[in-house]
Amino acid sequence: MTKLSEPDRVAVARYLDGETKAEARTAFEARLHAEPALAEALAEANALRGIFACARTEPAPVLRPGLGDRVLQRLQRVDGGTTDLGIERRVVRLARICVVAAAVIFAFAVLFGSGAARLPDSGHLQADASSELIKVLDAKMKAAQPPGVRR
Amino acid sequence: MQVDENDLIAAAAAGDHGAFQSLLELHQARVHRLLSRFTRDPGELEDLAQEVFIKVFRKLHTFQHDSAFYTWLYRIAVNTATDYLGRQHRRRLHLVESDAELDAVRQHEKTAGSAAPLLEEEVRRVTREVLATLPDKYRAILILREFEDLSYTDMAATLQCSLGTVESRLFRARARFKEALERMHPELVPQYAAPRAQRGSPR
Repeated sequence: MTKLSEPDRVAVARYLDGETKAEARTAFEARLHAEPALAEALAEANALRGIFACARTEPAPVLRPGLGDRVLQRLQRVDGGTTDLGIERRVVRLARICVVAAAVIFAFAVLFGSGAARLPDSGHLQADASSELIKVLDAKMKAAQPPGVRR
Repeated sequence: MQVDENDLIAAAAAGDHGAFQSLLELHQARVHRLLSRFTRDPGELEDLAQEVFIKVFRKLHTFQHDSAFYTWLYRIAVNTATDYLGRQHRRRLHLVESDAELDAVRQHEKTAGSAAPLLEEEVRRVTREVLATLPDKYRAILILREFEDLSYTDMAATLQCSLGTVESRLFRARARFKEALERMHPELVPQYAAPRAQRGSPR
């Protein structure tokens, strides 16, 4: 890369971009003839412009028709009538609070509901019920067995 | 019938959707082309274009007529595109599809007889790829200058900065681009840039 000060390089860019005023342009062109380093910097900058000139010829992707309609639909959806963004946000926030509250109530119900089944007496009750059930089943099996068969 | 842009702006700012739609139709192609320099993905382009015009509709009442309407519009488009791409974690743009695809192009170029059109396509791809690596402010100013051909004054109005800032930022942006190009694709610099340099002339 050519060694040149930043102001000179900016002047080169300004010249290439057609942003140099008429009188400054004449003076700059005189310098170009006298200073090889400036001319070299101009060639370098111009080379880069060549790359951009090639890239800029690329066509943009096709624009889908109806952009205006889609934008207006979005605007109406967000701004129009009763569905403005503020209300939508409030509804969503309320729904979230309801869901959290329901989850908390459910958790309490599960916790205390199953806790009741574990009260001190409930174990005895369950054991009594089980032994009664076993006795009934035993009796039924004995009755169902043919005579002479021993368990 | 020729409709005055200022009338459309005034009517749209007052909430006239029809006027807004006419204004949008006047500028949509230009905005779309500008946005396509930031992303080539059709879905992203559509989202960006919608976002830009929604912002335009909402901010129209703040337009002061102290600059051309299109530079004001460009400002919104550049900021929207930059913010959007920032949210995408500065990921590589869809501008460059994939290394494999680029390799395929190179391979095809080697085997095909006419390399010129492919070389041009490769230059486009590489330009997009290198642009995508630059910081937002450099990428934006290069797009405005090299692709949209904005004057320094219009760039200053679009980017809301002084002419001096435009000059120095543009200088740094080009330097950064050249540096990245030489680092990422050194093969392209002598093969493509040098012959162009001899043909080029000031605008």
